[in-house]
Amino acid sequence: MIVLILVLFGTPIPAGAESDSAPGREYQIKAAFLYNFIKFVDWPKEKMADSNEPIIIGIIGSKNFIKAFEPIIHKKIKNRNISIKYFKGYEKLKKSQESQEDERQWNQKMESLKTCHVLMFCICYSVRIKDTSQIIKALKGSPVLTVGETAGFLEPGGIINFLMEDKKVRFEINVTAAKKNKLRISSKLLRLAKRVVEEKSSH
Amino acid sequence: MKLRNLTIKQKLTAIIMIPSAVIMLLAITTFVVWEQVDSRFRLVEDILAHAEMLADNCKASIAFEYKQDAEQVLSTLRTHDSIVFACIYDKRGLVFAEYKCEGITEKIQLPLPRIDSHAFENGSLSVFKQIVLDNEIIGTIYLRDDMRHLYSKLKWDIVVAVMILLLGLATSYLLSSRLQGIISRPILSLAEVAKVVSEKKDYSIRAQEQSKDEIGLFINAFNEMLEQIQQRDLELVDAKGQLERKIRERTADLTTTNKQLTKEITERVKAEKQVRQQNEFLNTVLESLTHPFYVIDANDYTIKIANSALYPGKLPEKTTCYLLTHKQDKPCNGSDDPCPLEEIKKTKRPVVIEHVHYDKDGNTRNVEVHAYPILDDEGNVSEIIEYTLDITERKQAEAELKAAQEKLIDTARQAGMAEVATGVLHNVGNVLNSVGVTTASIQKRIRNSKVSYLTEVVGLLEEHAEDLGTFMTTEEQGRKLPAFLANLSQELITEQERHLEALETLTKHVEHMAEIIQLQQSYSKTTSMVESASVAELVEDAIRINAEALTRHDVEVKREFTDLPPALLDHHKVLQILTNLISNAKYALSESGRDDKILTICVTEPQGGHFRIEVHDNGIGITKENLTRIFEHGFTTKKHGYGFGLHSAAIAAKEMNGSLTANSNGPGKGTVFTLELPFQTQEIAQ
Repeated sequence: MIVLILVLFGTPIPAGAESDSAPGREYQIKAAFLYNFIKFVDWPKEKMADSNEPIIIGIIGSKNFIKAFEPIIHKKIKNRNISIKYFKGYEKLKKSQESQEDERQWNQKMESLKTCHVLMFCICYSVRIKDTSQIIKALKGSPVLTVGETAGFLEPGGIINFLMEDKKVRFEINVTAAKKNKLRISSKLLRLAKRVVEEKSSH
Repeated sequence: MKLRNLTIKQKLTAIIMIPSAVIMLLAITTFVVWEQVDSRFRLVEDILAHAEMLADNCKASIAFEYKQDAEQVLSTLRTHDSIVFACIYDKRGLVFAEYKCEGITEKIQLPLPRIDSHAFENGSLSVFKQIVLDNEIIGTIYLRDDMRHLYSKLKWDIVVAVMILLLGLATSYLLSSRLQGIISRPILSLAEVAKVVSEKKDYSIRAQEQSKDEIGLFINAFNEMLEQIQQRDLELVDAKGQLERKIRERTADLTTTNKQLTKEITERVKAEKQVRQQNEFLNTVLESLTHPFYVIDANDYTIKIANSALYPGKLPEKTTCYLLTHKQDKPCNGSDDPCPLEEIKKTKRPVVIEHVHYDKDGNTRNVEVHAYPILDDEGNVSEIIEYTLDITERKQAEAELKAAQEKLIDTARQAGMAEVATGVLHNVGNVLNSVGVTTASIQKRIRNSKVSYLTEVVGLLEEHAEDLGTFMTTEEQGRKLPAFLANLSQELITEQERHLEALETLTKHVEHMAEIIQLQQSYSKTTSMVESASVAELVEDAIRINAEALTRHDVEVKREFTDLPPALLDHHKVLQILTNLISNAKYALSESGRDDKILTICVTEPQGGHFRIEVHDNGIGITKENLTRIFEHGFTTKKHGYGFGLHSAAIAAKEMNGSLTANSNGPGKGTVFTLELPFQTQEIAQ
């Protein structure tokens, strides 16, 4: 837990990393990992029906991630191209039930998120867990692989969470969440995860 | 040892064992090899499977660069004892993770990564497998197996195989040596029998039939053969005896024949030698002949054999006789140059012909060609033998001889002529006598001619010229004158007649003389005057010529003439002979002193073609000794004879192809001379 917290506080990238200049090595590795994650994850057939459709990686939060993806963006995964969608400001989204309009907007936004195969919560200082969990909850049941990089990402239902260990990028996986999102994660990947969370009781 | 010389038993055993051994070996080898191949195959599969599995397991490790995890995965190979080494290369070709088997201490050379492959190298199996994640090669896994299991398996396989082989061979040997007996036993027993038969020459032995297969048939056949052989043997012995006998006989024959043959051969050799010698001799003889000697083929005139006198050296082929000797291109013909070959072909008898030949030097020579026929079996002329005698000299000599002869004849003729002249003279003498007598008589008559009376009468007439009429009518003399003249004329006519007669006789004499002289002249000529004449007339002429003498000597001439046809002969010669004969007869008669001197001349034709004149006289005859001598030249019994007459008469008769003979019964018994002549006198060529 302490490690997590450390990670939590350690995670916020120094300002330089947050700026729109060269993404850090960490993000590059994370991008590569994300790229590989996709290889070890199976989406349901409905999501993968049209083989011409690209694998959509949505990014919420820092743009740095987009840059980190540049070396990989032209590659193919599962014979599909990769497309990056950046959902600007979505990190600040709050689910409000004040008005039906808001609700509708919220739903709309959530729907747009659901188009993604992978959703990367690229957290920075400004974004808190509480906020992201709403989105995560909203995405529950939809075949979206939610990937985060903050502590406590998995508990609300995030599927994969990056963590740093000895300056090495590691990850942990919430299998139950994956199941709930109709995603099947290869045991090979699970094996490599630092921690595998499997809830007996489903949300 | 050669397979061929083993016993049947060994052979059969070998026959069974060798194939089975070979087959087993083959089978075992195949099996072992198959096993190995299969094992290797399986090993490869196995290792590949491992590789795949490991690769699969390592995908995530490699993707996320979790070396430890990869190594952990690889370490599961520990259970697999034959895999001695494994490693994972990343996509750059660098070693990512390694595994080494326990106990392997040596440094292992890490091969460079390759594409999916396996290879048996250096006694190990190396397998490479590419690790593919999502169609992307993220690395290569390499496994090495030391094939220990394979080798041990191989070892065991071989051991087992060898054992099986040995076992099999042993079994095979046992079985085959039992089974081969099926074949070999009957054969061996048969062989045994055969051996005994051939050693002991006992053909009564028989082999025992043991089976109904081909060997059994063979045994049966063998027995049959033995049967036949036995029989044949007996026959043979029999035949042998006969044969030996025959051989003896034949040998005797042969020896005899041989002896004969040898004799014949020696004889033949001798004969051949003889022939050769004869040939050589013949050749030598032929060559010795200086005369050309050659054989001509009757069909084509080619010269088949020739000696060097005809042509030195070898004659070109197909040289004909006429080409060589006459330098002609066709055979001789004609009466001047008759071809001896043609003549012989006609007559099949030898001919001798004179020719003119070119000798081997190219000069023309007179030759006498003697040709002899050689007849073939059918009697036709197949060849002729010719030899030529060079008669040029002979011809020359002949010519000379002829000339000499002619000269001699001339001389003889001259002598003859002299003789004849003498004879002629003699005859002429004879005739001249008659002439003389006749002339004397004529002279006397003329002297006594009454012509003188005519002179008287003429004188008388001249006397009375003026008064001739008166004289004639008045004078007695005158009156008697016509009668006297008539008488005188009569007398004169008679005289004239007599004179004419005498003159005729004289003329005849002279003619005869002329004839005789002509006759003599004719001796210098070669031609004679042969004319047709009446024999009787000729005889009469001869008588007439001697008429005076005959009358003077009181010879009575009797004639007994047969009618003869005219003869063709030389008048003068005949006349001469007859005259001579008559003259001689007259002499003989006169010498006899008889009163009845009779000369009989008979003319007869004793045989066809000849006539005979016989002059018989009953004069003094001829003694036997003289009968042969009277025709001799110079022989005479006359006191004043010359001995020419009969001789030349005889010659003349001979010349006319006739004969003059004399016969007398002895002295005092008369003589008959017989002249026989042909009607057609032909002059003997002088």
